[in-house]
Amino acid sequence: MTIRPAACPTIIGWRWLWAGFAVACAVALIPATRRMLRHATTLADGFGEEPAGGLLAGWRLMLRDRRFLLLLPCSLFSPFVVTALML
Amino acid sequence: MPLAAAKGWSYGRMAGCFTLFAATKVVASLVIGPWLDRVGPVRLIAASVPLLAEATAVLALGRAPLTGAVAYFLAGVAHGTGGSLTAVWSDLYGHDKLGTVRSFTAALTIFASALGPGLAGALLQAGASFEPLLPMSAGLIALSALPVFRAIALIPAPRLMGHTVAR
Repeated sequence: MTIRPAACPTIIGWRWLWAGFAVACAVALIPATRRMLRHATTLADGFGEEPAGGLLAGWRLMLRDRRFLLLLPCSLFSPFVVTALML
Repeated sequence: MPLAAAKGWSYGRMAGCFTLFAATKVVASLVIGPWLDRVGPVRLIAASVPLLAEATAVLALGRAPLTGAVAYFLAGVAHGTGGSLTAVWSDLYGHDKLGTVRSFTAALTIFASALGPGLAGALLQAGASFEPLLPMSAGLIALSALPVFRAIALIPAPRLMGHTVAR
């Protein structure tokens, strides 16, 4: 089975592909983000308070939580291996 | 790319594999949604880690042209499923603390992503061969799945099933 390279870079070239992404960000993503941010304050009202002692205290609590520590290796090995060996 | 060089695959073939990886990841991320509600995020993580180990093992063992496609397909499914990790944090700590949790886990994930190529590059420059790195990684990933099973035992059943318990 022969797998051909992605069609997009072959047709328009990789430089224009990056330019296309930049244009897409400017045209679509920035207005969409601004639109979402208009509702952000309303959404944030429903959220809980910051953990007592601030962000660092919250992280410290997580590091003391056994369940977090048990799930940490699998969440770190995947990006470690994929970026190191596969990409 | 060391992988392409080690396996004797062309860059064109590798580009095709990346495309397959990306497409599979997108489809897996979409398909996984209903499953996430049905079986719970931690169980899905427990399934995704062995899949990634399998993908790496296939890459380690195979040289045939189809091997790359199979490995990247499996890796795409594993990565797509692994996205449910955010749901795990939400289930464990509640959505009101998700910002605190995500800021920490995202920083750790980015650190791991950056460390991987650096460490692999340093090993290769020091004269290490690329081929043994693959089975070693497959073994490490498989080992990292073991604590997940312990985590399943520690998390109460309603949370495993994806229902957030009122706090």
